[in-house]
Amino acid sequence: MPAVSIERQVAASPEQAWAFIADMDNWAPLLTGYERHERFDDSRSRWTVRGELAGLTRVADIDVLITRWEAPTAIAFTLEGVDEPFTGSGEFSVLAAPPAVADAAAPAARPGRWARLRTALVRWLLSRLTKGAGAGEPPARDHAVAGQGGTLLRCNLEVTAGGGSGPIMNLLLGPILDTVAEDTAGRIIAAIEG
Amino acid sequence: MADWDLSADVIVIGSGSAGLSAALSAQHHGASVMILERSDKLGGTSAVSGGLPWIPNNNHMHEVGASDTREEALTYLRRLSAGKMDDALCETYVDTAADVIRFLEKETELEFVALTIPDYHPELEGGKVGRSLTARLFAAGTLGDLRPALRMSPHFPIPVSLADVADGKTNLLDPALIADRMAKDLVGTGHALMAGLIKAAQDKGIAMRRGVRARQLIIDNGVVVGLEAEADGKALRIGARRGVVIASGGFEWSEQLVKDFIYGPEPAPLSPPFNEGDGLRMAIDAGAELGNMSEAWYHASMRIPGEEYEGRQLNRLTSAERHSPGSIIVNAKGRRFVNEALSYHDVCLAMRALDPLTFDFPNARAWVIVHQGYLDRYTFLTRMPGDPVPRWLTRADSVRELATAIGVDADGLEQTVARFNENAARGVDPDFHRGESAYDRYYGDQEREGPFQTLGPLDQGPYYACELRIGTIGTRGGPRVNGKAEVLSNRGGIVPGLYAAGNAMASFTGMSYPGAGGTIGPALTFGHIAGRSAAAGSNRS
Repeated sequence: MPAVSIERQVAASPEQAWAFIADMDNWAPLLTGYERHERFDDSRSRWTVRGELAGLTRVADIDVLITRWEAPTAIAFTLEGVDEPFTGSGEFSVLAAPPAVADAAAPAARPGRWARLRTALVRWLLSRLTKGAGAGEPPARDHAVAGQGGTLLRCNLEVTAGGGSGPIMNLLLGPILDTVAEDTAGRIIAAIEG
Repeated sequence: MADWDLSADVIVIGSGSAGLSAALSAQHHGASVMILERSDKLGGTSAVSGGLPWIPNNNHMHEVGASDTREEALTYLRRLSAGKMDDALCETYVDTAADVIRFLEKETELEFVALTIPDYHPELEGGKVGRSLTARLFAAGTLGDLRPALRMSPHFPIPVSLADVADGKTNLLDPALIADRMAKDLVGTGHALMAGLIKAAQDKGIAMRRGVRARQLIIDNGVVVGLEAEADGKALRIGARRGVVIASGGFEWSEQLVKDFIYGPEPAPLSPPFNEGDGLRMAIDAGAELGNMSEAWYHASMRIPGEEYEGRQLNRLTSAERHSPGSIIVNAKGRRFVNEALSYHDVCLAMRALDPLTFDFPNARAWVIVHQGYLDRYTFLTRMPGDPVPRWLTRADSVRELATAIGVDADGLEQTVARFNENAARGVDPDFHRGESAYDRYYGDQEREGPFQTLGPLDQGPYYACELRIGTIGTRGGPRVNGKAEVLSNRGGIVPGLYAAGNAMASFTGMSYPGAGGTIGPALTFGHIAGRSAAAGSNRS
C-alpha cells in the first residue's frame, strides 16, 4: 500500500500550529496540485486536485471525511476518489516538540513488497516529473532546526488504488506521494511560521 | 554566404521518426548533421504514438507466418487510393521501406518484430497481416543526459510493447512485470522507437538542439543554403552546406491552416501541440508545389474532461470502445452510420460525410453507446471493469432516457438498439457488416468466436454514452517530393537544397490509411531517402 509519513518541526507554538491546521481553508491551497475544495459540513468535503505525469495532467475529485477530531492534537480522515478507484486514510498530529530533534524530517520505515524497487522507481518517475538536469535525485529535505522547541507536525497518509489497474497505479503512487508530501509540508510550515 | 551562428552539412527540422531517420541516413552517407526541435522534448508525434511502422514485404513477416510481394503491396495500395495516390512514390516506398528497416536494425540498437495486426482492409486484394512492425522494448536509461528529453506519451504511460499484446502471453497488468520494466527504465510503443533512434543519433555525434524553432529558409541564388530560427527569443542563422530536410510534422494545431485546407469539420489533434505547419509555411515561401493538402490521418477520439497534455485538452485514442461487443456509435438522429470496428481513420471518414440536402455533417457529432454488460467486461478509455463509473460517462436506466440526456432522438436510438440487438444476437450486421473483416475482430473479445468477438447486443441497463469526435494524428499535406525526397517547385523542377519527409510532406497515399503504422512507415522511409539525398548534395550542381 503506498504510504508516506512525514514529520517536521515548526518554529511556532502548538496552539498556533493547531489553529492553522484545524481550518482546512488555511492550508488547502498549499496542497500540491490544489484546484479547489468545497466544504459540505464539519466532517465532509470534496477536493479537486490536478496531478501531472510526463506532460499529462488530470483533474481528480476526492471526497474527504473527517473521522476523528481531537483538538488540539489530532485529526484523522479518509479519502475516496469520486471518479477514480482509490481510497485512503491519514492523520495530522500536532505535538509539542522535544528540545532537540536531530533529523525531524526522517521518513518512517516503508513496509511492503516493492521496497527494493522503490529507489529505482523514484528515479524513473522523477525523470518524468522533472524536465531538466538533476532529475533522478530525490528533493533535498529541509532539516528542522534542532534545539528550538516549538511544534512537531506529523502527517501519515496511505492511498490505495483499486480496480483493474490498481496494482499498476500503486507502483506509481508511492513516489508521487513522497514528492507531494515533501512539497506540501514545506509550504505549510512556511505559512505557519509566517 | 557567411556569418552563420551554427552550421552543418545537413539541417533536419523536427525530431520525430522522419527527422531522426533523415539524420541517421545523412550521417551514414558522410554528412555532419544537426537536428532542430522547437519543443523541449525529442521524439515528435511518433513518440506519443504506438510507434508501429507499416512496411510492405518486410524481413520479419515470416515470424508470423506471413509473406508478401512487391506486386501484392502495390495492388493493395492502389486499391485504396481512390485515384489520388502518387504511383511513382508508392513504388519508391514499396521498393525501399524494407531496406530502411534493415538499415535501422544494423545502425541502431532497435529490434523490430512483426505483429499479427491485419491491414485495415485485409479482405481487399493484396491485403495482409505482418506488414505492421513494432520495436521491442528499449532501455531508455541508456540515453543518459538526454533521458529526460524523451517525449513521453499520454496514451501509453506504462512500459508495454504492442508485441506484448500480440503474443497473447504477457499479462500487462502484472505489477511485478511492470515494476521490473520500470526499474530497468524499459520503454515501449513510440517511446521505444524514438529512444532507439535518438540513442543512435547521440552515439553517432548528431547534434540535437531543442528549443530551436525554424522560421524561414535562407535562399541564395535559388538554392536553400540555411534557415533563420528562434531560440530563447533570439534569432539564429543556421547554415546548411548540403541541404535542409523539413520533417517538422503536420499543421493540425494551426487553426487557420486547418480552416483553409481541411474540408469539413475541424479535427481534434491527438499529437503534441507543436505541429503548427512551420515546415509548410517555409516550403510555401520557397516556392514549393503543394499536394494532398486536404487530407489528414484521422482517429476517432474521445475526451475526459480535465485531462490536458502540454497544456491542451487531451484527445484520447479509441479501440476497445468501438471493437468490443455491446457498443455502437450513433449520430444525433440515434442512427448508426458506420461499422464501428473499422479502423479509427475509416470511422472518421464516415463521420465527415456531408449531407447535401441539409448541408450539414450529420455524423460529425456522434456518441459511443454501451450497456452495463460492456462496462462489466471491457475497458472504456481509462476506466477498467470494476472501477467506479466516472461522471464523464452519461448514465441512464433506459435507452430512451439516455437519448434524452445526450440530446439524441429517442425514437431513433430505441429503434437502432432494437435492430442492432436482434442482429447482433445472431452474429450479423446486415447494415454495416461489422464483424465480417478479420480487422473488425482483431481488437474485439478474443474469448468469443467469429463475429461475436465484436458483435453483442446492448441489453443490460443502465446504459452509457460518451461523445465521439473526429480526431487527427496529423495532417498529411505539404510540399510534394520526388523519389529522392527533393521538394518540387511550383515552377517546375525542384527547390534545390530542400527535402521533406513525414507528415510535413505531401503523403503519397492520398486519403487512404493502409494499416497500423501507415504514417511512420513512410516517415522512416522518405526520411531515410531525404537524408541520403541531402548528404549527397545532389541538387547543388
